[in-house]
Amino acid sequence: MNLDHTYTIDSLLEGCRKGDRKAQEALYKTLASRMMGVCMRYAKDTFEAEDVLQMGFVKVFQKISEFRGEGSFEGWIRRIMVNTAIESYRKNLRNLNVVDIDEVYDQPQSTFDMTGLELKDLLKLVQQLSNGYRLVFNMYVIEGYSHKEIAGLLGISEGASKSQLSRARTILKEKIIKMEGLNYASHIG
Amino acid sequence: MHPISDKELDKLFQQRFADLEVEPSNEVWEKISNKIDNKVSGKRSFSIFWMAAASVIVVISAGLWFTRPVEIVKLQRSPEIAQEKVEILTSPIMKEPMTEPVQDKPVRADLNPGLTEFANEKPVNSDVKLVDEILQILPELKPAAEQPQQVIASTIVKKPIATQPKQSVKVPERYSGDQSLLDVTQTDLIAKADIPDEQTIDEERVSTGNKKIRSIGGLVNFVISKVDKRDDKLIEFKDGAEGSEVSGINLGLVKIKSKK
Repeated sequence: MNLDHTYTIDSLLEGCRKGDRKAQEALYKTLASRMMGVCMRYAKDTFEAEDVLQMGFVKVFQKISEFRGEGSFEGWIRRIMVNTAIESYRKNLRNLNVVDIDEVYDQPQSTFDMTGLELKDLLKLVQQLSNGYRLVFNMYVIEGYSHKEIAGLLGISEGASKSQLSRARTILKEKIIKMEGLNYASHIG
Repeated sequence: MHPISDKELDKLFQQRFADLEVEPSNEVWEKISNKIDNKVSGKRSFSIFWMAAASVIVVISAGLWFTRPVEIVKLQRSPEIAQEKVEILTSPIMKEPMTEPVQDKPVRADLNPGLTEFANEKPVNSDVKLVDEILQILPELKPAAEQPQQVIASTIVKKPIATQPKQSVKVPERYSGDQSLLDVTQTDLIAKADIPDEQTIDEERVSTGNKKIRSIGGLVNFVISKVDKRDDKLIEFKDGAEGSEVSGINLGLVKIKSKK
């Protein structure tokens, strides 16, 4: 929890614009854990999330002059993180085949140092989705993109976006029900 | 087990994920910081590479520098070795005349012109008593030998300065025998040749030592000049009086250069 920071995000903006390293570091320290949370939703594991976080922040510092002050600075940074995650997905799409859903079910569950077991489990469920499903689900449900926007950003049809979201929801529901049935504690064994 | 509606599901994730915070590892900022550096100044990482290369070369050259005095110690010892060699050279030849009797002196002394010649030729004879002895043994020749005596005396004065005392002590024994006369002159010639040689040998050794070190310094200079195109090289060697010295170091931030 990064609540005890002395600088507000907006006061760091000027320093970051001038390329002041201390301001950049302060901004990073202030927002890192929140942005890491965003990246975790879009990534299949912590390593991938940290890669996206790193690339995202480099972009933030490079493109900081492009920020016009419309909307919040944090919102702008969050959008850069999401865009970086989308770019990363599109890059991986060219290199790797999308992991089959059936394989995902049997993946060992890694543990994260996070507050709240429920949140942790939900994050795990999302991370276990195949890359395409996870991306569309995040963009539509959490970020609030429309299917039209998603289709444009991912280079797919609107219909494909809708069907992917539908399948993602189905998988998540099934898993949640399964988890409830197992009563959380026994799903490890 | 009630069925979950789409809205319920979406709401669940929206609420839970709204305040999702995960602490990234510390390395992430390091990577970001490095990447910004590279973009801002592309040369930064290059110069870091050079810093590493420089430090490696500095360590190597320091190693060479500290091993160098060992060679110098050998160089300083070389005159002694040369002296020993001279003694070794002269000693076997001395053995032969040593066996022959010393009483032969008068026989030789009869040859007046030979005596003067001999006196001139033997550079090692610094013994004034010896001349007196010869003169005492041959009192008849005294007036005739007066002139040679002066000659001998003059040679006597000069020679002790050039010759070693060790050799002068041994010389009286070498007088004996006609054949040995030739030998004596030969050994003396060798001795003569050797005495100035001591210095030249030293010089040669020093100069070869210099060459050796110079080639290391020169080698480093050559290698550095191949990779470092700056005016002030990473490390520069200069050939000084005591072998090659480091005349300049340029680590980008730190520059050291000796005045030529």
